[in-house]
Amino acid sequence: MFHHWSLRQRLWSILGLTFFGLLAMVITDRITTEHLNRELAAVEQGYVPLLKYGPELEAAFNKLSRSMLDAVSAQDPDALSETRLLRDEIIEMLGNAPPAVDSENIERLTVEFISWSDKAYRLSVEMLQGHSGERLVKSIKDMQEAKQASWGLLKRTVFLDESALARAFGNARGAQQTAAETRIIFCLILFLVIAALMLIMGHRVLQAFSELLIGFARFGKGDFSKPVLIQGEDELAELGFGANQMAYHIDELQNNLKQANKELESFSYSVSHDLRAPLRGIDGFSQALLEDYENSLDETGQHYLHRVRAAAQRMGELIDDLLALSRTGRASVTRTHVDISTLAARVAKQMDDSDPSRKVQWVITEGIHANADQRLLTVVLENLLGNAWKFTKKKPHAQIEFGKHSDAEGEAYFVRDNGAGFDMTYADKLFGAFQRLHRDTEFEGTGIGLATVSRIIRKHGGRIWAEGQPEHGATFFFTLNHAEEIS
Amino acid sequence: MRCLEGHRWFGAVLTLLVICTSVTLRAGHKTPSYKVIVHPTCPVEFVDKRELLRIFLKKNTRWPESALVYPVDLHADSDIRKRFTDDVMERSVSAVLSHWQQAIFSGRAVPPLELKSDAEIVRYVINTKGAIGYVSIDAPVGSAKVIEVR
Repeated sequence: MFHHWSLRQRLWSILGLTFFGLLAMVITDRITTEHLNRELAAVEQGYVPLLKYGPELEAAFNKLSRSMLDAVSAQDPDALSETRLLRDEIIEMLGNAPPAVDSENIERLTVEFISWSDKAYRLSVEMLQGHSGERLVKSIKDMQEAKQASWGLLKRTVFLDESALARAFGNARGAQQTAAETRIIFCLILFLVIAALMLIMGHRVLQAFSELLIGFARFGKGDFSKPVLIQGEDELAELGFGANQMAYHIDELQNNLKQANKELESFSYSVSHDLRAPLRGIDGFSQALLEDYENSLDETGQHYLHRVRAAAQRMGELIDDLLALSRTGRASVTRTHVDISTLAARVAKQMDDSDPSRKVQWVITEGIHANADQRLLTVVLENLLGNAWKFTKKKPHAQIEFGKHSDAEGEAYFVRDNGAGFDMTYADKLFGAFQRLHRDTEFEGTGIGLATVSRIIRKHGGRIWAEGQPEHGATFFFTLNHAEEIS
Repeated sequence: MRCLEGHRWFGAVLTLLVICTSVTLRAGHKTPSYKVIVHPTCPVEFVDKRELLRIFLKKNTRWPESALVYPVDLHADSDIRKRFTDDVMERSVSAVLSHWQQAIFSGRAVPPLELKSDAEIVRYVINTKGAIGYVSIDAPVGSAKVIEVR
């Protein structure tokens, strides 16, 4: 039954069990303590007063006997009369016996006492009066008999019965022992039961977690084929079920994505290929017109044809970039040890050679290395440094930097220029394909370059972002793989 | 000479009389004024003082042949008792009485029966087997047996 409960129910039940177990223990403890206290109270109230009472009563008895003897000895009738007071005092004492003494016993003792004291009194009177003979002997014997009876009863009834006391203490000790034993047993049982339940539950939880760990490790590697197996009806089983659903969806998404990418690539490829042919025609024939029909065409006509060719060439660039973009999509990353600084320097030189009239100050930090695909990294640098070159065209003192930047969040490479910059509010548009933040008349470009760069960076497991200010330049940061960078 | 011889005789007889009287008188102190009597069937012929003391203090409760002994005293004011107590117990009567009073009240023992006259003593002794008592020396004892005190 425990198995069919949810984790929450099981936890609460264990808590409840602990609580009620302890409550029960406290209650039984109290009961046994009460019992113990009662025993001890009985001892205290019952027996302790007897410690005094018995000896006091005996002393009073002896005093009375002594007083009568003295009166007879001194031949003093008045003294004998006074002994009656003592007798009455003793009767009062007998009336005030502590509760530990059985009332029946006290009654009997009182009767015996009165019998003896009266006989002793009469005997004393006879002796004072000088009686003798058989009668006196009888009186003596009667009195002595009564004395024996009452003294004997006194000893038996009002004295502390040591064996009874020992018994009471024994009971108290026994009660205490029982209480202690009960407590221990209770604790032991409670502990065992709770431990067993917790072990069972813990085992279940650990088993489920182990299964989840294995499952998610597989998911992490991209293997969504095998589900996580957690049986039961509790929260853990639901978790397993949820994980499996997620895996199923991701698997589906992955497949869809793969499919989409494949289609996109083949689309890009074939489109660019198919687009080239007519483009070649447009460009070719325009050129032919310009060359062969130069004389027939007026300036406007030639201008128009130049415009046609320019447009065709631009389209060719676009197609090339698209093709490059699709190729980077298909390309795999082969990591080697790359000296980025040298690479950047090479690209910089390429830029310089393409337009010797421009004087750009290159600040390239030396000695920067990375574990990356050399070919793809080249594309990245060509794009980023090329953009920097492009957007600093209008600045008289253009400066382009390449280096490595460290801050609280980590390390990143950067390409910085002091060119046209951009408005940060459109930063998220930067890396989308065909997105341009400047008009073609200001700065030419297809808008595909950064999309390509972004894709390459992402393939390396890194990320790319940019900061800029209009007319105050832009900085492009990128990482190649957070865990494996070497400098 | 016949006159002188007569005076000598008179002197001798006088001396003898004086001697006899004094002897008699002295013997009157030595001779007890009580006698001890027992039940007629009592086989005992004599008793010594120590034993008598023990009997009358109830320390010895049996005759030699193991029959119970019943001592009986004269009343406390009696001269004979006084003589007997002085002689046998070597104490005063009041000391003995005091002893008995304490014994009575403590419940330890019962004193010997006390009777008022020689005649009552004799009657008791004759009627009680094992009884022992004392009376004045010249009291009639009837069938009671007189025993010697040593």
